Amino acid sequence: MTSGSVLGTLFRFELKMLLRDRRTILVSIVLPILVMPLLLFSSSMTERSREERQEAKVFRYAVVGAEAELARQVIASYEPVASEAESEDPDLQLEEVDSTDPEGELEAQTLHFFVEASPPGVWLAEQAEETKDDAPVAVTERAAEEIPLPLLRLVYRANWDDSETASGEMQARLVSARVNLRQKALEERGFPVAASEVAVVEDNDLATASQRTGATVGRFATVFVLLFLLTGGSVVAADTIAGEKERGTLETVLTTAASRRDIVGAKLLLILAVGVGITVIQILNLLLYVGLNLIEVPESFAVDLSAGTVVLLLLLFLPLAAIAGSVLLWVSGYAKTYKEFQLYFFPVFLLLLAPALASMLPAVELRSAVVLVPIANLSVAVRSVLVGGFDPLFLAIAWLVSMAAAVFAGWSTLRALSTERLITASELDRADLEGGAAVFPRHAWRWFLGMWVIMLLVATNIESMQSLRPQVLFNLLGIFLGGSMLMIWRYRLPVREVLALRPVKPVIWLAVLLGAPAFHLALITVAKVSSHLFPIPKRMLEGFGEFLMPAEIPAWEIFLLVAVLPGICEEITFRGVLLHALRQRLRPVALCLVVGVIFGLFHIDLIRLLPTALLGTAMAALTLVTGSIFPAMLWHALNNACAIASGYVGLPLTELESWAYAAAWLVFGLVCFLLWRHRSVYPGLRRQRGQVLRLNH
Amino acid sequence: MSGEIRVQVTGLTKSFFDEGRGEVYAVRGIDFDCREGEIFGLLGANGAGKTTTLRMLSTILQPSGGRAEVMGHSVSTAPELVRRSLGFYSASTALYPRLTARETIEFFARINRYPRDQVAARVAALIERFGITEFADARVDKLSSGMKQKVSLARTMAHDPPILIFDEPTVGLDVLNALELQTMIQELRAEGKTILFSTHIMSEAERLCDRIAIIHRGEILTCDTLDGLREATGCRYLEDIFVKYVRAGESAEDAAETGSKLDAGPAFDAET
Repeated sequence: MTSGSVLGTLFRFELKMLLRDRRTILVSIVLPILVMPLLLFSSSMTERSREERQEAKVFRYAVVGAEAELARQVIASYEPVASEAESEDPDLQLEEVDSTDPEGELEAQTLHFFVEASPPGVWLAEQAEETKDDAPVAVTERAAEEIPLPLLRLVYRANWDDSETASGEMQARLVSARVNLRQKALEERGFPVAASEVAVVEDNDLATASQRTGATVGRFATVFVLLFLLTGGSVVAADTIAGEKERGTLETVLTTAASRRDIVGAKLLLILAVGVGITVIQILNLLLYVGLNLIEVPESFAVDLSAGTVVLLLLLFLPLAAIAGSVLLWVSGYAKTYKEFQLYFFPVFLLLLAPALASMLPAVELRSAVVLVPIANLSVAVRSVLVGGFDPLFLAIAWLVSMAAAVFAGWSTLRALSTERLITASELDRADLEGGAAVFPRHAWRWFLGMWVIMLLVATNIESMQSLRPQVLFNLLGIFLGGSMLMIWRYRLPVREVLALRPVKPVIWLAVLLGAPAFHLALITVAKVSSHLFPIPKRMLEGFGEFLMPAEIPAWEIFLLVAVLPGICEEITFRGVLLHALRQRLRPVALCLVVGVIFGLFHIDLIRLLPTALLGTAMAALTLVTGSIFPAMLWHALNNACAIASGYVGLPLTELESWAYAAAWLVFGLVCFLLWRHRSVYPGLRRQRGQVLRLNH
Repeated sequence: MSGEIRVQVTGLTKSFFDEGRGEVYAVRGIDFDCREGEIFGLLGANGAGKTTTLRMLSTILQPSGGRAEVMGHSVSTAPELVRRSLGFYSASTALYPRLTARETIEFFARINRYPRDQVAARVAALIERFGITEFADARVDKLSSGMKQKVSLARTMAHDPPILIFDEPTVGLDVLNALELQTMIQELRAEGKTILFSTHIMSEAERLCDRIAIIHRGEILTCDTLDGLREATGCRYLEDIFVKYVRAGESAEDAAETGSKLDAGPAFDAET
């Protein structure tokens, strides 16, 4: 039997089992199909019965105030106009009643609303009082004499549906009446044309109806497809590995001659088949409702897709389906039980859906950094295809990037099925029982995620945090130092060990003094190269420079805030606590990269992500090689100091001769050699071959 | 002992990384072999390393050190060939509830790469052999636990493997079902199958095993026939033999841990 036929057998039997599972069929297929028409039908029924009820009903109102009689005249001057009938419902019956206590009656719901009519002078005087300006009062007196129209104030209760409906109708009628009165007044004073004919504005859209529809549909298409894929695939995914672990059938199948690859492949195919099947059913469902007029679409809605466009769209949805399926399978492989899968599903669902929203942002184009973000690139690509003007090169890049992400997710699932912790899930997990330092490596992620979210919220929502001093102090002392101390205290971590407070040889200090400026120049060359791929507007760079070195802050304080404090606080957090937490979860190279990328992400700035991530990676490597945090602290501080100093002395480091950069790389290389020769490796790192199995099972 | 060697284990080690305790050894350099037509028993208390050993042999877990070969194939380098040669049965390996008994056997025969044209005949033969004809087309979740056990055994043998691994197979079974299973295991031995059997139930080991390895804290303390063990310890009952070896093993370990220079020599006095 070939591998292909084993995969086929696995898929066929998995599908058979799925189709026999009434619960899954009901939840993932029948319910979604029934729920939408039921919702639409009940909503249209409710709306219709509401309209009928309202038309049969008489809404009572009162007119009060000094200008009540004038108000009645205005109300009486209302005539339904065909063109304005959209906002009005002439069939709604409004009846005026006498009222001595309108507010009380409104409260008692015996009156739906009332109109308070006062002379316009009252309103103008109120305006003048608010603006503290005398001029409107003068206007008031003159205006009140010449235009004896009342100020009409509608008083209603928005928490009472009928009151809101009735007052809304009255407001619409009054607006129409005002238009009529205004036109009449202008005619009486000899205005030569109708008011609506003054400076008529017309537009002329050159886009075809199909392109306009494409622009609208393109914003939502990927989000909806992904939504269907995820909700459809999740029920199967939960059952397929997490459910099998819980039932004990995973171990049974893992002891057969089927390879891990076949097992994962069959499960992925199943999720894809169900996810895609449900997506197709839902889309057909949607089209059916549109055909049955259960869903109203604008008159200008026109879909005109060529066969080529349809194929292109399907091609773009292929990696989307693969990512959704692979991620769901990975979550299922990672979760030990069905319940655990459900716990992880919602955040994963949001994480996957968030990039798909990129197509809703009008400024996002495919020819930008978004092409490197899986899902987001597909969402923008789908929009560009539907709008009718796409870039084939970037479309291909987007497809490849997302496909690579799907393959990575599939590979991670394969790993999950080869990781002993997950296979032997029932075995006692001692760290959970012991708590304290033993459990910290597992909890570190959530602490850092929490810190990042706080930083993001503060940076984007609090205006006063936009300047250097408060931002640096809050982030460095509050989040980084405070957060690190809190983690050390909470998990009773050994301070010296966690922060790698170990002395180093004198030669290391020499290497750092030489290496930091050289590395700074080396980073600049990397930034120069990357700017060719992803150009950063000069204005943004200048803005960042002004933010870092505001004129009102003295130089010594800038060095303290931008060089010294980051050197201490950021190193404590990232090369101290984070590196220590992950040291046995990741192998050294991955450890440096992960610490570096997390450090980059904490700078919450896309243009600084690459250089800060590189700096973070280098500092993690330096800490691992020297076994101490102190060299990284000095290096980091010197690196930042170089950037500030170049600004003060007027030496633009980005515009040096090529030989200067070449020399910097040479020095940096020598320093690396020196550090390696005198290395004193960080203790307790993960071994090269840990508890993860080979993947070719 | 006659018959070809089908399972050869040399210096097999398994260590796990535990964030709290560091490196933890579940199995420490064990050696044994199993032959054709033999029931080889791994006898040990809970947590002794029996399941870890059998999981390594069935390639669910990767050894940290040493070698293990099944039908001449290494568990590390040819896991799929190893799995094709064995059937794994344990109290914790369940059946797919939504497949029928017939479909279950067919499924496992196919994914274990049994010749496609012979699958139907093999399924029919196993249904007949285990007496499950009546409920062959009933879904597994409708079957009683005794029936499920028979289906489970049939699916273990679906591809007619020369080696069968039984990891504490009678856990959770009532006396009659346990006895029935033991009878079946004896029949399989008569057919020339090699059977690796782990248990912590002494009577079971006494009744079934041709050779017994006593495993404790990841180490095999001794490996011999029941008669050989009786002779070595002077005890009649396996329970006494087991306790004697385990206590001796613990004292030797304690002595080693405390740095004692005493000769570890014979772990116990054979005359007592």
